[in-house]
Amino acid sequence: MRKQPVLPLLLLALGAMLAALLPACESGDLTLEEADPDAVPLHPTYEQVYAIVNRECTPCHTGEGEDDEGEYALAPKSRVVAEDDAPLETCTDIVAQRLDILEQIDDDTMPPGAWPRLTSEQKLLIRRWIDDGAPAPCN
Amino acid sequence: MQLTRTFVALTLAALSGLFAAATAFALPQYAGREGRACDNCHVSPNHWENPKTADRKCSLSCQTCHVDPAGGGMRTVTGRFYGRATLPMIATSPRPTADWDRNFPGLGRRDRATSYNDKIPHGPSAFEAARAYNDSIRDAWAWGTPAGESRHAPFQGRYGDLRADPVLRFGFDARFATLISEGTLMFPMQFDVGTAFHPVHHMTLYANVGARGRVSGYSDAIDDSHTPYFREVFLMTHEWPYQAYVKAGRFVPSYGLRLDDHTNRIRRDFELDGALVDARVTGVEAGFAPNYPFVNASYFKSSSKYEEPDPWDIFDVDESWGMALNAGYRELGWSAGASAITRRRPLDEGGDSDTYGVYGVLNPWYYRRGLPITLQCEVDYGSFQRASGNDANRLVTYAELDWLLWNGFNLLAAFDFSDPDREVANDHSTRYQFGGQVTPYPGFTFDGRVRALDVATPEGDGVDLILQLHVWF
Repeated sequence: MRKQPVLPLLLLALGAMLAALLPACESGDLTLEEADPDAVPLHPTYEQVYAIVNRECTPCHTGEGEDDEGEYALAPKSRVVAEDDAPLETCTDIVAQRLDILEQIDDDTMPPGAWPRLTSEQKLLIRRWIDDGAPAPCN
Repeated sequence: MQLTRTFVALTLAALSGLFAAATAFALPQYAGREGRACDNCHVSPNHWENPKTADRKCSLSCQTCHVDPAGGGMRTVTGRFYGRATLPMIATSPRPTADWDRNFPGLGRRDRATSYNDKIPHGPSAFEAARAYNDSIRDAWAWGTPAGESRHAPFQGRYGDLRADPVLRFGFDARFATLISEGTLMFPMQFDVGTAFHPVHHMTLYANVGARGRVSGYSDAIDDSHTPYFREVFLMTHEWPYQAYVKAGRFVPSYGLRLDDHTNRIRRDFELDGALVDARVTGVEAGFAPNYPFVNASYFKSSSKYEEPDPWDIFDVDESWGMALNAGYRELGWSAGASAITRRRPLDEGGDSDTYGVYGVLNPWYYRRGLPITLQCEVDYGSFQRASGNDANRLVTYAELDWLLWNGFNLLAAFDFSDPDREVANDHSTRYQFGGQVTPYPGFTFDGRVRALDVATPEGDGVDLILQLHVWF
């Protein structure tokens, strides 16, 4: 049997304990708006909202596009969302469903399953955009 | 013990019926395991003459198995050998002798490639002897011999019949996934094609083109905003003493444990998500790995945090710069490292950020036969600028325990924790994963995991099952 290195083992055990225990440390107790009112722009642009939706939502909320017959598709266009959900691809989609988006990201029910949820910054940006009247090229 | 049995039962239940599958990057867990036996990476080292340190090619660093020294993507001949000899249930290159009795029940001791007698294949014992092994090449997927000679290039014959140091080689990784959550979602996850052109020793041009799959298939991957793109493209000088290299081009900076799970917070939270074009930077990286310390350092320019760079123009960068350092010591049974990455950008491009991390891998198998487990963990802490210009801090941790039940059959338990803004309440999350990987044959891995996310809002907790087929070469 090989000689066991004591110091590395202790360091790794310490690292594993840190990885396991650090999450127990108390996080902050403020909302992002309380902590830093200027953390996101007061008047977010549609482009800023689109960047978030395009990355976090559109990969699953795809619609019946022009390649509906599956010319390139290698997988069925199934969705994790309900059958009657509309896609979130275009400006019109996003503006029309903005309140649903806000509700589901606010209570962390979307993205679903174990996918990482949106950050406080992303949520606040979308909320401010909606409060601002959801300015967009299509609206 | 009861807990172990429960864990095994739950995992097997999760895997039953699907034989999910795999990850065949030389993941950190694979590198952590390699050190237990030399013949994981090349044929049995009988009569081997240990070269001086400057000439040695033995290392547990990413560059041993991957063309990109920072890890991931196309494999070197060592990575290919590992993928044929050690990783699968049925080996097509000689199985490490220590693993002869570790085959899946019912598969028997023998497999396709292993000779269970004194005719264990072994390669050249020194650089001068390697030339005699040119006749051994039976490799349909790699061509040519680079001009010149190098004592620091892989020796022909040490990797069975694989071409050790080809002029041209292609590789690919494709993943197909099924996600079962509130519904069932099937989608292609990844398609990468890599090419390494190595006409002369010490010089390689590497390009890896990848496409992101979507629910609708790869179709979205070829429209305007989701085109395939250069994941990596760089010119590299390598095959130098102490495994030194310098590369210049587009790449993901070397930092921490390079996991293949792009949703993992130790990658995603620090703009190192391997699936995204915006994780790529353009710059220069240099490093070396002289048995067994390692250092990788890079200077780069990146694009705005809020804007995807041009998929093909690797010089599409903004007014920013950054540096990354990844260094440590990788012993045969353990490794420990520290990483740092700093980015300096105007506020409207994402602002400044500094991240520091420590990580380690422990391979008890090296010290005790019959203990085939691997433990890896990472802790990262960093500061970043909000859009207001004010500083904030974040904390991310990761830990994973792997248990290689049989050759080609791995179980894992993992968790990652993220608090993306330490000042803000209820924005943290913890994710637990239980599952495993099965590699029945070289080139095919099934990966299945039950994942549970715990967030601050009770209604936001979620569970899913993700199954992947990973086809790799």
